[in-house]
Amino acid sequence: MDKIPQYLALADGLFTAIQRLVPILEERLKDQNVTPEQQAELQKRIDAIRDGSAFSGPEWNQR
Amino acid sequence: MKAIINKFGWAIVLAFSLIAIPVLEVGCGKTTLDPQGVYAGDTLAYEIDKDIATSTSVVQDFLQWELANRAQLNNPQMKDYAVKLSNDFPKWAQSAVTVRDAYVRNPNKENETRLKQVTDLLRSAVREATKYLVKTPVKPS
Repeated sequence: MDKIPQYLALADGLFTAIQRLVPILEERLKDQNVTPEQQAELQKRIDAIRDGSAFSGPEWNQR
Repeated sequence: MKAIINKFGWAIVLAFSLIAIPVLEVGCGKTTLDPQGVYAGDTLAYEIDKDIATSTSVVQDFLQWELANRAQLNNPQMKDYAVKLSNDFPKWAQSAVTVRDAYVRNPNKENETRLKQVTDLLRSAVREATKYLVKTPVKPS
């Protein structure tokens, strides 16, 4: 019984992995025509990594 | 319940290890960039940026999940890894972007080697984070 929170947390991890990884795998396997909007979106993400704003959340730079 | 997790836990870990861990390293689809876009048809730059951005997203998901569930997970080894990764990964990702910029300007052998080194680092972080995301603490009996 006391393990239930742990199992729930792990199930959450599994679903997180599924939600994140399946679309990535799908993208990798099929042909893609990347629109200007999609390219701009990726560029924005790279710019955020470059200037560090992508790492401003509490999950980053933990103590 | 425990017996079911015992039976299925390792199958789930194995299935995801086989499918999910190499996810950034496979690709048989063809990418075509609209030449009107910011990449101006530069598929190489696009693919490198895609790798960097995807790695960052996967690691971020892991870190957010671990932080949100830290008390319930009660896994000091995972916690220590997450804290270390939360500090190291931003530097690795920013280094990857810098090296990518150099490589796109000048795709010589030296820049290619440096790019491979930094992207390998990102991919190893994704592999570790994925393993933790799908891992269960329940050992098979």
